[in-house]
Amino acid sequence: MDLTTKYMGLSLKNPLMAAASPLTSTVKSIQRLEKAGIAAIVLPSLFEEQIRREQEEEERIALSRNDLFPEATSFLPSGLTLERGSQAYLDTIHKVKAAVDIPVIASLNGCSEGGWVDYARQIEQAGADGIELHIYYNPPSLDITGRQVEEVYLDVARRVKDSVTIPVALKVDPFFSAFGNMARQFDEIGVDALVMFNRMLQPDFNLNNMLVEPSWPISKAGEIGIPLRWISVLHGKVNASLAATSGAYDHEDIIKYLLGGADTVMLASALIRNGADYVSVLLKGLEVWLKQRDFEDLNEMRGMMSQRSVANPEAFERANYIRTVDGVRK
Amino acid sequence: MSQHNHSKEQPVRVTIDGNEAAAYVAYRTNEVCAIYPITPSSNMAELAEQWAAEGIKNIWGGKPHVAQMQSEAGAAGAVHGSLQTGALTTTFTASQGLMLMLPNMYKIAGELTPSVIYVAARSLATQGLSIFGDHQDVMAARSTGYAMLSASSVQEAHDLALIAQAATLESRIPFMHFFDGFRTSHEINKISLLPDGVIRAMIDDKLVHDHRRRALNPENPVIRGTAQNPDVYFQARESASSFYEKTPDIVEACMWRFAGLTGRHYRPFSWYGPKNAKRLIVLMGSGAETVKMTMEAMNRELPEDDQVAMIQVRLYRPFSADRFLHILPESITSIAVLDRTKEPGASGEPLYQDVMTVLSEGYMNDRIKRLPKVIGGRYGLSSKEFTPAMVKAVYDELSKEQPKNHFTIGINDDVMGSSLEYDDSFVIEDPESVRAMFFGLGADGTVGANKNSVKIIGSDPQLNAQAYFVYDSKKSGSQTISHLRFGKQPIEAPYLIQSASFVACHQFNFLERTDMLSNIEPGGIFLLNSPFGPDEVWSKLPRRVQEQLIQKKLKLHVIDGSAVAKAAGMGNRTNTIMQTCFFALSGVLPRDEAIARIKHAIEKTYRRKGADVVERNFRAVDQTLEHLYSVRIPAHIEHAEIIVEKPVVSEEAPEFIKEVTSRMIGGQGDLIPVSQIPVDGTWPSGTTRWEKRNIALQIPVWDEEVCIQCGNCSMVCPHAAIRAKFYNEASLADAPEGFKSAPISARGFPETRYTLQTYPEDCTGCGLCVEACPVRNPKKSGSRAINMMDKEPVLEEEKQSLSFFEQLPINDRRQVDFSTVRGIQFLEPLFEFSGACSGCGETPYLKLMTQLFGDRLLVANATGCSSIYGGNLPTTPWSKNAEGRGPAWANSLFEDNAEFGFGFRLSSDHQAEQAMLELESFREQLGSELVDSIIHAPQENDTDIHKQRERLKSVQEQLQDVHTPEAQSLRAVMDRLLKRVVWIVGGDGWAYDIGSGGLDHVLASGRNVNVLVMDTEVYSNTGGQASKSTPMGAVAKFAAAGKRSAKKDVALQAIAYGNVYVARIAMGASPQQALQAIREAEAWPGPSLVIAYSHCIAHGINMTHGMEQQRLAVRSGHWPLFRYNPGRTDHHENPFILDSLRPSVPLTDYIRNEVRYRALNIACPDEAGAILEEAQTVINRKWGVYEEMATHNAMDFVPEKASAVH
Repeated sequence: MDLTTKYMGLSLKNPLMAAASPLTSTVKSIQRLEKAGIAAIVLPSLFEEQIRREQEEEERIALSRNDLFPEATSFLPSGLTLERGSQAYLDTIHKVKAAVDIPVIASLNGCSEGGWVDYARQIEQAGADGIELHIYYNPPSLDITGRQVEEVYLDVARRVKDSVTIPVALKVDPFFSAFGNMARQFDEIGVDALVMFNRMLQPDFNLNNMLVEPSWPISKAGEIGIPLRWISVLHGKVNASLAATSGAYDHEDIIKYLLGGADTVMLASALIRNGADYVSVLLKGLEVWLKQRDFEDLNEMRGMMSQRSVANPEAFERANYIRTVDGVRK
Repeated sequence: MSQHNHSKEQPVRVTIDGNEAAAYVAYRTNEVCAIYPITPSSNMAELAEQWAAEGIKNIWGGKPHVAQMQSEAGAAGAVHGSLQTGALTTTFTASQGLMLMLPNMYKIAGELTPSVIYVAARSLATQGLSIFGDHQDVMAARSTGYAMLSASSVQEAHDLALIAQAATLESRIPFMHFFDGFRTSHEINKISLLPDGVIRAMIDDKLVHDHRRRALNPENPVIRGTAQNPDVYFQARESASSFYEKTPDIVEACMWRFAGLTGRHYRPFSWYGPKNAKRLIVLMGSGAETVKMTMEAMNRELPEDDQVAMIQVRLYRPFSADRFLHILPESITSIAVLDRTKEPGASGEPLYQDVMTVLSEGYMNDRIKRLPKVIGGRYGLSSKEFTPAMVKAVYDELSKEQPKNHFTIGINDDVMGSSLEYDDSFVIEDPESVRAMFFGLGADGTVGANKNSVKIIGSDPQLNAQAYFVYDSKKSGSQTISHLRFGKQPIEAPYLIQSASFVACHQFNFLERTDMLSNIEPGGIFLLNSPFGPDEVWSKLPRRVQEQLIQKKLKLHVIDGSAVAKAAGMGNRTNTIMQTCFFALSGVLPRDEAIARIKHAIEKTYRRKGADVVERNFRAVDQTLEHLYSVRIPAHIEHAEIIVEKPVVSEEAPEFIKEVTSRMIGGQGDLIPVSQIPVDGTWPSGTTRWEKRNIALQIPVWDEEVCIQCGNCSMVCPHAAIRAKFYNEASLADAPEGFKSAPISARGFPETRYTLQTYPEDCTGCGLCVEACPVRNPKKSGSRAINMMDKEPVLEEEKQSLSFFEQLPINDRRQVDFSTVRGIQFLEPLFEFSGACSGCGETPYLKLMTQLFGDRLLVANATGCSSIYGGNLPTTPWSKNAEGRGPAWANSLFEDNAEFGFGFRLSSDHQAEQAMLELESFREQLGSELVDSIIHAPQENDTDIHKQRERLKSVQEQLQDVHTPEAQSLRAVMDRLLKRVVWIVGGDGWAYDIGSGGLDHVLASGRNVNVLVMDTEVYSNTGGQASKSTPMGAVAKFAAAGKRSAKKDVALQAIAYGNVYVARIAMGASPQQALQAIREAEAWPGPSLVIAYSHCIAHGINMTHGMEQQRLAVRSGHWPLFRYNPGRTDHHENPFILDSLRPSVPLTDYIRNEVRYRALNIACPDEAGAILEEAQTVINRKWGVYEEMATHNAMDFVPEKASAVH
């Protein structure tokens, strides 16, 4: 069975990718994924915000202990200034690239104007096959307008795209008034892939210490609806590759995404729950399904159920909602 | 050093300090360095170790072996051994360190072993310790047989290092190359770096081979170190004299050769001044530059026939009489010889004596026709300033008919009348230079920014730069004053700025307490970091400042550094902003060029940290320029409400505090006359309470509604700034408004109230208390029972509450439960408001000790952080209670503290026995019942103690009118019948390294001494050098590539004795266990060792989370808690109790919060992972050992009987 897939210009042996997760954070576990059949991996994000916070903390610590009193004007060997944590990340790219044959995509979660471009270049230099840009800009503000938010996304995407030659994917959230149009605008910038969708850390309240804590963003089975809809709508209408990322738990979810028009399906929660070897189970399931229906390769079935090709495209329309509700009532 | 590598042999100009200048040559011309930290020489050793870790080579292409030793005595031994076996070997030291090297120095010299010791000369500990510069240490070593070469500047520290290395090889006499501690060792100046070719050309390999040939060698064995008898020892001592005879010639020849290579000329004695001069000063060290400059200035004014001159001594030993007489012109009629040392009881100080001897001999031998008048004087002890005004006073004295001999200059000696008066207004600063003074706070980055500025400006080929930094005596909230000079001429002014052209105040609140405009020149620039803008700032200035601004016609500029920093995304870091202002205003460089330079420097510094960081700093620079305002100064003081400075200490302070201490606090200590200083180093205790430092911006505020009164907050407070009392509700009748009180949370005390009080002006704002609070307010998110709040709005109310709180009676110790954290909060701390770092991890233990036993406590304190925050003047934290009782504290040395405290025990025990003897003689008079009850009194708890006090009081009363010699004798020792508690305290540098032998011996003694090791796992006081306590994987100085061996387990060593009580505690992990251990240690009648985890700024942690780090240290198994109590074997119980649980988090969870470990990845990226894995393995195995011990039975431990204690 030919499962080969093109994803933002990269040739993959199948459409299953490992999304950024703890499983893609060490060379060992990435090797295990490769062995199980994964076609490409996305490294966990270089969190610019986190690095910056750590760096500020370090500067603050250095400041609070240097030149305090005459006997001890410092507390570490001189010249040993801590470099930005990005170095460790770049080293990881090197190591992973040397250890596996599958494409390695680095991901970048930035927040500042300079940071995006700067890191994207460094990631490219470190040898990554592509960059997956994670943008999540959803300020808890009553002043910022939708257009301003959109501009931030477009601006970042444009600047990163302009600064590197390796393909750039964009992992975004669906919280736009008109996601379809946003997707087109991203496409026009030249973004090589759209990854749908980002799972955000959402606040939760700790009732013991009365503080806000982030909740674990692991997805659940059956959560494929929103990405499936947009993938199906976008398929064939944008140049960018399409990757699905939420709620793919079994081979049927994967098949649905492919039918909607996804080029690849990214796995995280399913692998965390079931282990790296689960990739081979999914691949098997996919192959069996294809074989049963006599598909020779994925191109035959990919996008079969997209809005453009499906027999009942009106099902993607809002009007359908009323009927669904009516159906439930009856 | 790597940045100094250069392919061409062109001299490179670099801006470095004296230590680096000397170490640079030492490293390149040696093969082995044996090192040990001591201020102010530590940086030399640190650099050598670091360069070795970086793989930098010496001139023979090898990488020197650098080994840290356990003490300077150990370093000297290693140097001796290394030299004996043929390696070129060096060490770096100062002060007490040099004293510990003396025995080996005699050996090394006696064996004619070429080598150089580098000394940053420093005071010796006499009536007090001092880290600052003078020549007492090197003078104490002058009889060792070492040649002594004295450098007067950063350049000379560099150049003479090479001359010493060359001369020692040729002469075979070992050299001490010394320069003034701090003034030269820490002064940053621009120098010409010696190219490798020059170093190579100066060192003759043939002589190196000779050294190797003389080495011990089994191929050609000899014996050295024989024991010699009266028949030959004397002759043997004389046998090397000819070598000393030749040494001055060799040194001079080396100096000539050096001049030929570099163009810089030195002589054993250098003459400066006209050949027909009449008055002469002779001296050595950094003061020589001051004398030279002054001499030149004076000669410009003096008539041709009354000129002054100077001889600078560079080669002090061997003292070349010939040369001295040779350069002394006949015109000289009077000579002042200046010594930076004091030799009590001598006929004069060393250099004076040498000059006198040489002159008299010269006169006797007809080498000189007449004897000039010669006077000797002392100057500059412990870095006392030595200014041109003082030099002029000395020259002036020489004009007198009867000049004062054995004078002092720079102080007011109103006891012996030795001091010369001098006129401060005599100032000779180069008017073309920029002289800038910066007043900053220890942690605000001012010094760091200034070091950076000096490097930036020093890199300009046209400009010279000099920087020197003055710190106050506290480790937290200290004031720093940076003295920077810039100019086209080389800057040779080794004294603080006398007349500033630019003054910057980086902290607005300094204006009230510091007179920073007293020496700004008319028309100078004053830069003020001010929250008030140009239009409103004037009225906020103290009257004195307003007057100075008007009278001196100063130019005032303001910037709101904090606001700009915040806006530019720099947080609260104002250093770049203030630095930019200096560059923009000072005129050192044209403004545009200056700004371009600063941006260039920013780019260089931050490039690797990311473009956005660079951008952010650029933005800060640009915004600074936009928000830097010039202020219009009115012609007259026009504001009605004039801010007047507050008195330094309160009116209630004792006379001594008001007369003496307050002047030291106010920065006027230099003006205190000799008569007001204690003659024997005895100072009043408990003086920190008079110095309201007000350094916290936020203080903890108590929420009485939700507090559970557990006592955790006051226990962890490092500064004793949170205290609790319980009292009858009736006391509240007079309480001021806002005084907080809560019913005590204990059954059966309906009328008792509880108050937790903050000392708002003493708190340092560390926040440890809030972190320790177990309460989470269910009705307010993030709130606890004690919360940090901005101080200003609550200060007045808190101060009033505090005065009321202080009037409430101290709780009766007999009513307090000593066994719980909750109970001990009511015990008065007798260690308070120390100058330790904000959030210090050591001081809570000391405070706890004073709460438990303070009123009968003797403390022997090893030198280190604890002796500094414990005993550094002007104010000290060991205090006393209302009855006047409290810890009696002393610091002897670093290496001998266990023995010192052991002496306390011996003496106390003996005197107690003597007191019993004396008491016996009054048995009849006092009655057997009383005498026996005193002699056999149990003294286990405060009730017992109270009873014993009552008994002794009764004896006192009964003998009140008896004046027989026997009664006098009894009275002299009677108070010794109260059980005295001896605690020997210090850090890990002492306990694990330098004092290890003594500690071991004292623990083996069986005597009732208690040892508290406050283990920061590093030499904290000297700046973070590794000790044997430093854990595997931590990066420290002297372990620049990470510590590779595991931490020494002193606990297990002590347990091996069997009769030593041993505990390992960590207050942040278990305050209750810490309390229990300290009490058990005291109760155990034999020796006790308590090892206390002490988080430290040297760990590179957020100090607010210090206690959390302690918890993680325990949870990860890095710091298992246990107690080994030999007393338990009496009851057939296992003496070893493991108090913490099996490790529940990986080591990484603990160490990821600490820069010392995070730095490992940078120090050795390839090995870091393996080292940390190994460290985890060590922990796991160690835990296994402890766990196994915890399952032993009483008889499984060593056979020494637990009762084998005295």
